[in-house]
Amino acid sequence: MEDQKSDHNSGIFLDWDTLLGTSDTEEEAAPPQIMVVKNPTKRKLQKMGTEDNIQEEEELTEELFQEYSDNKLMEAIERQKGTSAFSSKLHDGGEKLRRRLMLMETELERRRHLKDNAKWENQRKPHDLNCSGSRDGNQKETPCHVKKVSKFAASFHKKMENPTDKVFRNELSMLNRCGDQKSISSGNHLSARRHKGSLSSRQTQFVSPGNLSLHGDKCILPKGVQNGRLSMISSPSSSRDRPTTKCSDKRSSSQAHASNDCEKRNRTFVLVDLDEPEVAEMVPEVDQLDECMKDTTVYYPSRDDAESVEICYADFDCLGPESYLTSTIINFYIRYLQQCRSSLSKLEDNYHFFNTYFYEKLKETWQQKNDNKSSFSKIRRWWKGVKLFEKSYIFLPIHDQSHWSLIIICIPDKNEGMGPIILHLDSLGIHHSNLIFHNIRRLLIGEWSYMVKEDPYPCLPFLRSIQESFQEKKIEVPQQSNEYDCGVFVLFFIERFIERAPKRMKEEDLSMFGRQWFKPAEASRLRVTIRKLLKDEFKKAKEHNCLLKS
Amino acid sequence: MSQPGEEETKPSADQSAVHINLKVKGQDGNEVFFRIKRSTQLKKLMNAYCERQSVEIASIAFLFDGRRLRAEQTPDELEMEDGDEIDAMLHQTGGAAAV
Repeated sequence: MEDQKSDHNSGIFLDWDTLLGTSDTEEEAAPPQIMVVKNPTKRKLQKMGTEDNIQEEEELTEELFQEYSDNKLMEAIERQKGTSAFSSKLHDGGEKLRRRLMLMETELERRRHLKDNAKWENQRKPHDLNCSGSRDGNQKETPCHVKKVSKFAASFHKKMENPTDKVFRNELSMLNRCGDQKSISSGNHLSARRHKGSLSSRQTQFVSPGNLSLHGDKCILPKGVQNGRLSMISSPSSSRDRPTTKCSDKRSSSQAHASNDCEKRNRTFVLVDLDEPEVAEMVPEVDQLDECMKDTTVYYPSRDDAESVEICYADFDCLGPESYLTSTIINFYIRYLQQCRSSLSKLEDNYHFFNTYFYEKLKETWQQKNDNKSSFSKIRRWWKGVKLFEKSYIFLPIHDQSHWSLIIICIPDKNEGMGPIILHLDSLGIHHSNLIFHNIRRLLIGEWSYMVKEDPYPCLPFLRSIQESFQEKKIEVPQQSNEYDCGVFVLFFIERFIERAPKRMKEEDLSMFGRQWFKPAEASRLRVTIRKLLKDEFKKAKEHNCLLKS
Repeated sequence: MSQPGEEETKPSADQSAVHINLKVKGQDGNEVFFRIKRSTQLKKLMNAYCERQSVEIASIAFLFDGRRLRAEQTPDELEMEDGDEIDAMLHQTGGAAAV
C-alpha cells in the first residue's frame, strides 16, 4: 500500500490539496497515502515491537515540550488559568482554551510519571522523529522524514485548525476510541498521546474533586503540582465533545487525570511536588467541625427571631476550599452583618437586606402573565412593614445559573433631586445586568405606585416621577480569579460597602468602586472568616443544648 | 329539632377554627393544597410535600412571606390565615456560571 515514490531524488511530490480534499475519487478510492523516506534508526526502533510504539509516543510528545522548563510550563498554565474567567465570553465558550489547558496539564502529569518511573526514564531516547504524518493501519509502522512531509504537516495542521473541516474527525475519533492507535502529530502543534488523553477526559462527565477516587486510581495530588502543569501545545479546534459543566481548572485537571486510561491501570501513585510554591492563601486549612455537632442546628441570631437563619451541619461543607456557597450561608452572613452593625444603630434604620430567595420570587412574579397586581401584593409581604423608599440602601443577592452577584439600590437624599440608583456588582461579569435592572425597576415602580395609591402625598425622596429618574449602573468591581468564589465576593461587596458607604449615596460617591476597590485575595479570605464564625456559633448552640438537657 | 341543627353547624365552625388551608407553591408553578390543624407543626406539611414531589427535604427552603419556615413552627404561631401561600424554593448554590 505504500506509495514507493521515494526513488525520486527531488523528494516526494504529493498533491496534498487533492489528497486531503473532500474529493475521494482517486484511483482506488483509498485514503490518501503518504510515502516517507526510509529512516534507518527509526526502523530499528520499530523492530523492537509494539511496546516500543508506546515508547515512541512518549518520546514524541516529550520532544515537543523539551524546550519548556517546568517553571516555564507552570507560568504559562497560570496565565492560561487567568484567562479562564473570560473564556465564557469567547465565541466558542472557551472550549479551545480549556482544551489547551487540559493538554498542558496532561503533559505535565506525564512528566511526573517519567520522574516517578525509572523504567520509563531508562527507555527515553532521543530520536529525530519530530514529525509524523497521518497514518492509518497500514502506515502506522512508517516513520516520516521531517523535510519530506513538512508540506503535508502544514497542510494537515491547517486541516486540524479548521473547525468546519471534518476530514480528520473520523480518524481522530477512531484513534481516540481504540487506545492502541495513536497517531497524528504535526510540527510542534499536535501530540497524539496528549490529544487522546484530553479527549477521553472530555468524554467523561466532570465530577467534583471529591469523586476523583471513584475513577480507580488513587491520586494524591499536591496542589502545587496541579497548578504547575503545562505545556505549550495547541490543540486542534475541531473538538467534538464538550464538557457538560464548566469546572474549575483544578477540577478539570484532576479529571483529566482520572480518566486518562493510560494511567488508569491499577497504579497507585503519590505525586510529589515539583518546584512550584503553593497558592496557599486560597485554601488555608481550617479544622473540621467536631463530629459530635452533627445533630446540632444553629438558629441565627436566635431561635425566637422571626428571620432567623437555620444552619445545619451539612451547610458547613460549602465553606470548604473551592466549594460553592449556598443560600443558607449567604443568608447567615448577611444576618450576621446586620446583627453586628445594628449595634452601631445606623444599619437597622437605613439598610434593607433581601434574602437570596427574593430575586427568584421576583422573577416569578413578573413572569406570571395574568393578574400582576395581585401577585405584586403577594410579594409585597416579603417586606411587610418596611418602607423601602425610606431606606438608604437596599441589598439583593442575585442568583442565576450557579452564579452569585449583587444588586444595591441606593436611594439618594430627597434634596438631591435624584431617583434611585441601581448598582450591579458582579465578580465575573456573567449575569445580564440589563435583565436584572429591568426586574428591579419594575419592583421599584410597582412599590412606588402602591405607595402613591395609599398616600397621595407621600413623603418620598423623589421630586420627579420615578420612571424617569432611575440610574442603572453596572459597577466595575474586583474580579474573582477562580471559578468558585462568587458567593464570597458578594458577601465581601456588602461588607466593604457598608464600611464605607455614606449616609446617602451621591453621584460622586460612586468613585469608591472600581477594579482596585480591594484585592481579590481579601475577598477570598472571607471564606475562612465565615467558617470560623459559624464554628463558634455551633459551639454555642451545642453548649446551649447541653444546658437545656441538664 | 333545633339541637341537631346546632350540632351540624358547630363542628364546621370549629373546624375552620382548628384547621387551616394552606397552599404550597413550587418554583415550577405547581401548587399543592394542604389542610392541617393550626396547632400542628409544619414539619408534617413539609414532609408530605416533599414526599409527594419526590424531593429531598434538605434541598428545599419553605418560605412564608419571605421568611424561612422552621419545621417545628405551627400556623398559629405564624398567624397564618386560611388560603395563605407557602413558597417551596430550592436551595441555591453558586460559584461561577455553568456553561
